[in-house]
Amino acid sequence: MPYPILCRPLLNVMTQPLALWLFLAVFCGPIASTAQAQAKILIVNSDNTVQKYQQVKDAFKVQMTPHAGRIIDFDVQQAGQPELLEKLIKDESPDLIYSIGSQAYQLATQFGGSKPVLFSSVINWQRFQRGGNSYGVANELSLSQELSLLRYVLPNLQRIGVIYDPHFSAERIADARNQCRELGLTLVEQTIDEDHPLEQHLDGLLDKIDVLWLIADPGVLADRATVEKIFTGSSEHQKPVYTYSDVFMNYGASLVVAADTPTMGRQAANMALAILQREPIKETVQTPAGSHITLNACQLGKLKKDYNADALDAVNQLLECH
Amino acid sequence: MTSKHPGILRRWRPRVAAVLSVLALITSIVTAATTETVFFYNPESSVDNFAALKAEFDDYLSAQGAYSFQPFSERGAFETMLADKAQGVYLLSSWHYTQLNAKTPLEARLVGVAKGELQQRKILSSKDLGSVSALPGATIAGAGSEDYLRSQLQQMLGAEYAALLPKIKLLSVPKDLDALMAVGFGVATAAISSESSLAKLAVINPKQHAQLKTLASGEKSFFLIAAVAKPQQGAEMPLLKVIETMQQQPAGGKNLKMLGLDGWKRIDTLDASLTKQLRLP
Repeated sequence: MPYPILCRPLLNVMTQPLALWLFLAVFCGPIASTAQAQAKILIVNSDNTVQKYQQVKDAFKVQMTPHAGRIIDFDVQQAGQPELLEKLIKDESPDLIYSIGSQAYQLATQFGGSKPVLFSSVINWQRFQRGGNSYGVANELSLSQELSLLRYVLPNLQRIGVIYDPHFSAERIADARNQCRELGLTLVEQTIDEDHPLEQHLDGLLDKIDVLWLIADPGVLADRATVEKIFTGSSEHQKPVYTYSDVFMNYGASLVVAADTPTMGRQAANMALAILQREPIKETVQTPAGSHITLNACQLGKLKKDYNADALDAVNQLLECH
Repeated sequence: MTSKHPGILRRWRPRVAAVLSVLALITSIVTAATTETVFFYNPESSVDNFAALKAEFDDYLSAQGAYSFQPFSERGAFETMLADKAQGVYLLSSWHYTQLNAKTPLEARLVGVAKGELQQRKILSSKDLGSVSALPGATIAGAGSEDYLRSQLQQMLGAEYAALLPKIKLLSVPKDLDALMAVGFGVATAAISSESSLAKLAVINPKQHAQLKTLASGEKSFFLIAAVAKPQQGAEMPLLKVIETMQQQPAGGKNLKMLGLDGWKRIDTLDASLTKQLRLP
């Protein structure tokens, strides 16, 4: 039982302030550290076979194991029946539930009751309703980090073109505008919607920019054909594409900066410790702190664009022409 | 082809296959043992670029001779390899080198050079904290293993603030720039980074840089070290020469950049006051 719950009835009977503080100092202090060491943590993974989920879980466990009494694993895919999770939570009564992936998070909040639920690897976490007992690590890097690292790896490309649908990304682009101003970059924007399709504007935009920044806008990345059109156009105009997922490497992206998965697991572990120790938590949903960089040096060579060689020690994956 | 004894053949086929497999394994072990290897482990970085390093260094080294590159992500595995005294060259951080030397004798032969410098200094930067005394409860981000970060912090805080260490959480991130930016957007209270990384932040994100102030700094330490196991057999000399001259070729120079270096300098050309720091005999 976590110590505040254990101590709560005693607090009610101890009315003398001095006695109260003496009691807390002598008894509840040691119980606090013991409670943390004996904390039971339930990890709910959406699918253990997904490598990124496995990586984040491994990193969480490495960081958390010295501090936790017991860690229980539950794989949603393997279990087959989500109701098994409900039973497990009732039987084990974990002190904290760590959910990996959207499905796990939904189930953890559905069956977790008032238990603290921590999440990571949830795409666009804002779409879920969150209770006061919900904490997490977002899946997307901050705009500041995304644009700073672009500037670091490709310092000669100052005019950044972006295509977006205002229905989905108006707020994000407004933030990006401010960030670019602070970083000394020029953001060249192109909106598209039903009345202004991509075909009409792509060539015009590519003529005005040094690099195309492809963001996760469902209005732009509507289908495979559109994605191919963007990459073909960029290649014809000799403009590199900077984006957020390695998925686009197959299309010819030149640079990808994404959140580093193991770091998200370590961040989640630090948050779990803070929750178990009842520490004040400033940001209940943290921005990922680590970045993962894939540099397609082969593609940049084809486009006759240089990259910052001094940034190579920050690159996780380097694609060369072989 | 037909046989008079098909049953016997069928029965022996798996055994023959097993014997052939063992022979193939022995052959591959013998081949591996005759290939000289560069072993690499760096607790000062958490960038998971082992596949890229392996591919690029193998490409480069194999063009120079029967050489290969073996990066390690686990300290224990690297140290076991070293304890077995495998022939080869070991690339490791100077911090790890001085720690290791106590139990497994190594001889440093080359030291990495970056921007004309042989050494770097780690510093502790924060946006909101006024001094190190405010660190209890803080989360400090930094690149590298937790052992390494804790030891850097211990050195920076000194005896006066040593009691604060258990009250600080560490967050290991892939690189210095991540750590510094984590302070900028509030995930960490402070960051451990090299001075040169702070200077890089000034270029790529001047606003975030301007918000940071230095709370403490450590002693200067060398960049990567290239070492051989003692007693030295002399067989590693050709491979050491290949490493020493990497910067003279574009492909070698690019590979060195992946380690954060521009080149190497021979230890025997350094000033005695510098070599003393490596506790050389």
